[in-house]
Amino acid sequence: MMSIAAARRAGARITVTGTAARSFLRAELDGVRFLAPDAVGDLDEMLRETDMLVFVTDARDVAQMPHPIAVAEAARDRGILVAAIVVSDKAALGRSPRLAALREAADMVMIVSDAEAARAVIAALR
Amino acid sequence: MALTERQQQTLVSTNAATPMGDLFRRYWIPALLAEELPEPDCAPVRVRLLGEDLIAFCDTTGRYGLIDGFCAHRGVSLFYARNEECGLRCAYHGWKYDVEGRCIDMPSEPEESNFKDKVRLRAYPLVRLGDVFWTYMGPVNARPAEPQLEWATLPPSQVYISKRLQRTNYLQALEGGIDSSHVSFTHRFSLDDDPLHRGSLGNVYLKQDGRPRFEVVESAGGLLIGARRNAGDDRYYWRITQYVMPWYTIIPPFGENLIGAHAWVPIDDESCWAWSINYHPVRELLDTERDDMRAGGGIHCVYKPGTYEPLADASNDYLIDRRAQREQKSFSGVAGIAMQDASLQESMGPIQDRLRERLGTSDSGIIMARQRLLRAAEVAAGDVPPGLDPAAQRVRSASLLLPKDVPFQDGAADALRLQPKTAFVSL
Repeated sequence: MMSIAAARRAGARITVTGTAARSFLRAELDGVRFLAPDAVGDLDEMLRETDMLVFVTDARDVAQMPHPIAVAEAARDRGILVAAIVVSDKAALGRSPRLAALREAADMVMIVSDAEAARAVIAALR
Repeated sequence: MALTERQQQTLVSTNAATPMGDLFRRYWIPALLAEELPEPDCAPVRVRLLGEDLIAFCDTTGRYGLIDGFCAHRGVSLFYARNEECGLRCAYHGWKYDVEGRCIDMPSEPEESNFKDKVRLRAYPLVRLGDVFWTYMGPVNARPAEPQLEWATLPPSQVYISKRLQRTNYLQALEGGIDSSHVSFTHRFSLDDDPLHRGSLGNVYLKQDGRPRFEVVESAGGLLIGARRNAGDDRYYWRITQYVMPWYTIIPPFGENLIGAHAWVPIDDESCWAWSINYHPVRELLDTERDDMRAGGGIHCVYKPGTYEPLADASNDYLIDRRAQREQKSFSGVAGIAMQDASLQESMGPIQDRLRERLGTSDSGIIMARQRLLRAAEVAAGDVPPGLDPAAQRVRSASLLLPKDVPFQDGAADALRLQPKTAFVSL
């Protein structure tokens, strides 16, 4: 078995928000900041030292998703990459206006089948 | 970090008794081109797959075999064996093996001895589909249905297949096949000139918008990787790549040109076969198309004579042409789409150290493919890994314009399903 010399690089700093983030991500990923999806306040402070803002949303909860555009645009204005992870057991999600807004706001969208996959992707983004 | 050291090791290690090696052995594997075993009793062929050294041959009756590459007696390479009278006879002491690895003659031992009946080499099935021999190296009781990828099921007259040696781990090559964003750079000046890519309206959008946005979706057999580029005020140009487990990619088509696809098959952990396939679902290939591909056009390459090794390689700096680079004739300076990719991927070293990389949003397909592979490698021995269901293999890539408010999964749903004897959807 070959081996590879490990040299840890500086990890990306991730801030996670979104409806699904609240339910299963908050305590489960070290080094990932959590931003309450309905948070109000100083965006500069909320997005401080963030390299990537990740919306994590369950497809069933999309209608409850608050203002993704505003936060995403704020992030972009600060040079922060924006990603969206949608947890859905179906590949086709339909044409929800909120989802369309999220698609437009995000630099990349990933649709995964379960929470475990979402966690793995966020871990990979770090 | 993007991957843990353990995950990286898991992803790139494909020998037997490794998680990824065991996973890959659950699938049919492209092993040889049909031209490599042209007739009964032809010369045996060395085959190295997933770190195993094997020998392929066609016996006197036309049966094909893929067996351990070395004689059970003293370990002599069976490449030097005589292929005669329904078996491979070792040139050292005459031990002879049939296509199932059974020792059927042992002339160096007493005639009354039954020792030969106790000797059997490892053997794998070798099945010809079109112009490819496929093998299956996994548990006998888990052998899946034969491959149903479109190119594997079409008549040879509608398919052109080549393979080339790439001196990298399979994952580097696979990730190149998944990464749609490099097309706007690496192949920027090649698309309009290459006979198998020119004439596509999509080339205009590819060059206009070098910052595609990605939407990646888990599919039954792998991933759908959508890259969207701006195409005016109200539409996006979508290029949708199919990744089918464990190592197949189907390139979004360019206009009316043939569809391109790849299989990135591990030879061992530091080299792989890059299988390159072009096909058309509803017509035979033209002689001119075949001539272009034989000459290294499209995703194929020019070989060193008598080998499947590219003529351009690291020893000659891939014949890089700095003038062509300066004069905007070739973005990378390397000729040919295949070698443009291979040169850059080989320059990363045989196994890229992914613990040092910095992934961006354009790498979402790569991120998810790795996770798909890692999760599949955790599948218990009795479970069916993704991509084995024939339905999951009957898919197509597509390139098309869609209104901005239409998700590609809806707008391209029909285009992404293989519907036999129908044309593909391409711009």
